Amino acid sequence: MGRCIRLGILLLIMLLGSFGSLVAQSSGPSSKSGWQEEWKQVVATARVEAKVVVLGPPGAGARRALTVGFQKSFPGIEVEYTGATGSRTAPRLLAERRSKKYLADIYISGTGTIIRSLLPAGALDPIGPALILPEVLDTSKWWQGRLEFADRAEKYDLVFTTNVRTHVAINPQLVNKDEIRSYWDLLNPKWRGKIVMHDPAVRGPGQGTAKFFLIQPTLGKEFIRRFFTEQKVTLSRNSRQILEWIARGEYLIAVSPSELHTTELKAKGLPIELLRSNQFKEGSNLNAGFGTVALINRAPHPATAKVYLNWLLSKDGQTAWSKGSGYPSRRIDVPRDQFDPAVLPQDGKSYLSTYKEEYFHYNEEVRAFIQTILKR
Amino acid sequence: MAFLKAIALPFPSRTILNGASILMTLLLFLVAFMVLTPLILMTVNSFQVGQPGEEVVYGLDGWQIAFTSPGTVEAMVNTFNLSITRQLVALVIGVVLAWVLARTDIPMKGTLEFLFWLSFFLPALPITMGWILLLDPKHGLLNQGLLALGLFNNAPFNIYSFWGIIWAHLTASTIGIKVMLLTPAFRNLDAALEESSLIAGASALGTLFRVVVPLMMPAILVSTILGLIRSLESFEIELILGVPVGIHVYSTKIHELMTWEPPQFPPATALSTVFLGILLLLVALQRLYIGKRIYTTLTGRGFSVRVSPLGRWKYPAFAIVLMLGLVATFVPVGLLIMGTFMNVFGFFNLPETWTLNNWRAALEDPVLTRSIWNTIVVGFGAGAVGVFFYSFIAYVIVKSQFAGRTILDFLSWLPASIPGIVLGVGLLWTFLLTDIFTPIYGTIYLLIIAMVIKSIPLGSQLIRSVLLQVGNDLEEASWISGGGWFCTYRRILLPLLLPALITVGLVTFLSAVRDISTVVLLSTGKSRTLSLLMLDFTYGAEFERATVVAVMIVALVVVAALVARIVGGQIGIRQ
Repeated sequence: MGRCIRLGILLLIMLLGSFGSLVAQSSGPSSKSGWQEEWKQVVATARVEAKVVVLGPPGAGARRALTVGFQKSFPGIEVEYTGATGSRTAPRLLAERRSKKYLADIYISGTGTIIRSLLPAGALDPIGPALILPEVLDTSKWWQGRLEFADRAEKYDLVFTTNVRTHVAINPQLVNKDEIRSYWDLLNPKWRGKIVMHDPAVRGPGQGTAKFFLIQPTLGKEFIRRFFTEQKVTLSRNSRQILEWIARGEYLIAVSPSELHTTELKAKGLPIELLRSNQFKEGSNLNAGFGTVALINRAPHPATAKVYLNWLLSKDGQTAWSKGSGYPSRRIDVPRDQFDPAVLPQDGKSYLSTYKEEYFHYNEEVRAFIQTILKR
Repeated sequence: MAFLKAIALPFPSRTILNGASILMTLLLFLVAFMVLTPLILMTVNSFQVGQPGEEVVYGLDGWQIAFTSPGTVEAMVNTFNLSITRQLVALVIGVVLAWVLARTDIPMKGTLEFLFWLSFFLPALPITMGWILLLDPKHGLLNQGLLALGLFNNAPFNIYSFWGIIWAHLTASTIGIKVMLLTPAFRNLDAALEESSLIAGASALGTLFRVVVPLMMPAILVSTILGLIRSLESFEIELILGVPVGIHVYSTKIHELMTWEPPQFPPATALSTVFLGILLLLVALQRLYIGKRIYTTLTGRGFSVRVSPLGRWKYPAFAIVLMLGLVATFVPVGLLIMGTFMNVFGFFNLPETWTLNNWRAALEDPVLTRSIWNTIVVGFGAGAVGVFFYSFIAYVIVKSQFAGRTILDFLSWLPASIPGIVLGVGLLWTFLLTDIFTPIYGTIYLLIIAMVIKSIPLGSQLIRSVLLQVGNDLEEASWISGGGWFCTYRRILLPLLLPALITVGLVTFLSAVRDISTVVLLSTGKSRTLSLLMLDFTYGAEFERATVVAVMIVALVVVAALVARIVGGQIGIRQ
């Protein structure tokens, strides 16, 4: 009997314990004592690890944005940052893992690399459990009131940048912007031989634009076919070259201009103007650029990776990213004054989020279609 | 020293297992490992068609995609046309320039030669942008100037054309590398041979083409084969100047596949095998041509390095060579330096045309100091290790009777057959699969090894071509006089080889300093070099800041080249 009572008491304690933990979980990491204790512990471990290895996008601006601020906030923890395109960092990371070398902690890149290369290779951990800071988990601080994921499972590839893609730029001294109100206006014979585009055969803005043309119901393959065959579009693989041609008047219209390069060159006084999506009746799509993050599993510095991830998604981290990279954050408490309102997605408006996994198959489809048209 | 002496002996004893043969066998295995491992891994992976994370599946899909995709044949034809035209033009100009610089009394020959070295060192992208600034058909400054003078009705130059691409290549590196590789070989030619020809009534040009050129064939063939393969693999200039006018080349196809998401290794490596086939064919032809001919020009019978007087052609020749040198160097370097002070490179009518911000931003970048240091270490490391390693390879190929020397010769060519962007992946796989590299993975030492492997063909083959000129009697005389192997090497061979060794060291240094495609896959934030920093700025819409880094690279190389020339002048052959 006594044994039964003891067993009963034990069960009761276990039940109460489970209930208590459930209550704690339901109140979430924002429960003050819970998250603070966890954060304190993670930061302490991170200070022992003293390093985080980040594979990120190329570009000095991105590098500075993703290293300097963190090192100021967490002195003593080194950020070893390697910046390169996904086509270079992902094969390296996967080759290292095949050789049992687990050297990287965080991967910041476009959604294509993360979802098409790292996720199928089983190289990622879910992000949710690593988020600790209440300001990161507070969905009211994020656009559309949620944390956005690009992968179908909504676990691995967290999107922290979104802008409305601008597909066309002009030389405002030579082109009246009111003449172009629809992408179909680009087929006007007066623009024949005057359009230059980033080559859609390779990864980059040209392919992104071509994909949008393919998906947009009022454009589609017919538009693409006529655009390339009738307009004698010149292709380039150098974003800078495209914009210099526009500024010099060699070509009048740039399709798929690099928004970053355009903004930079326009600020320096070159006659280039981006035709924002609100000017086009077909609108545009949403772009995530290099602004998505994944947590690499079997990381050598797991605690520092958590600290870095939380910093990156905090207001401070996103402000640094937004300033350094030139792309707006999805956090709505991050200053957006430097951006043209037309690139900021509007509440209540419907956009094609072409960075998401469900749109990936269109990349190959549009590339193959254009190669058939251009016979190369 | 006994075993080392055995290496150098032209007819060593037939002892199967002596120290020398063990050493040479080890060398053969080392080179085979370094060269064949990436090649085999690449070949195997060209059949691996499974996607990342999926099961490993072997098939022919990659090969099928590679050779049936639209435009491949056209790209191949363009590539051959561009490469062969470029090499033919460069060969004629290069041979004449090297002869003039090495064998005639042209004034300021050291300075002139240095100009061509410099042209080879300049980074391709900013230099191409500079040529666009001058030769764009609509806005090129030179075209506009000539039109304003009323000399032409239409712009005479168009950089976006077949000949525009040829021009950009010739001035960027093609002529420079020919001069660098051929001049040391020309210097080792005994003047007595030319004098005999002249006494027999041949003209200076007749002597050049009927006596000098045939004797120089090993060096000429090496520079032509390497030049041709490099031409076939190049794509950076073609991407900027060719793609807009529909001139696609074979390597842009490989580049496309390698940058696809996920990267398409099977078709990319399948396409690369064409280079391997061409290289093997060229090397076989080269060996067939050289065969058992003797190219010895430096013998114990006396050696004269007297120069041929150019007479009344002395100053016109000087003017022409100087002009070529200036066009290939001062014009692009001038444009490059100017670009570092411009708000937007090439735009002179902006509200604020000139600025110091590019320098300020580049100098304030927190990773600059480390990048400079890494570059120096990688450059000097690869240069120093390379010279030693390539000398050993060349020495075994030319001076030993080692049974595996023909295989060693073939192996030493192989890294040239792999395009840089693919070689980077192959080396990454090699380093990851070999435990010996584990302790240095992610450090700059790995970059040094990668660059040493990459430059094996150029380094070993150049030294080999010069060694072919050195007669065995010089070494034999030294041994008979009691000189050991090291003494013979230091006092006989080294002074004769020094110009070539310096050239090889510098070219290896330069390759390491400029390289992007190989090191980008092996470097980390800690081992970032200046070339990767330049790439960083370019990606981030900071082209003008990238030109600042390019100027730093040029400055670094110029200093290294000057030091090498001064040191070389102190130790080199004394007339």
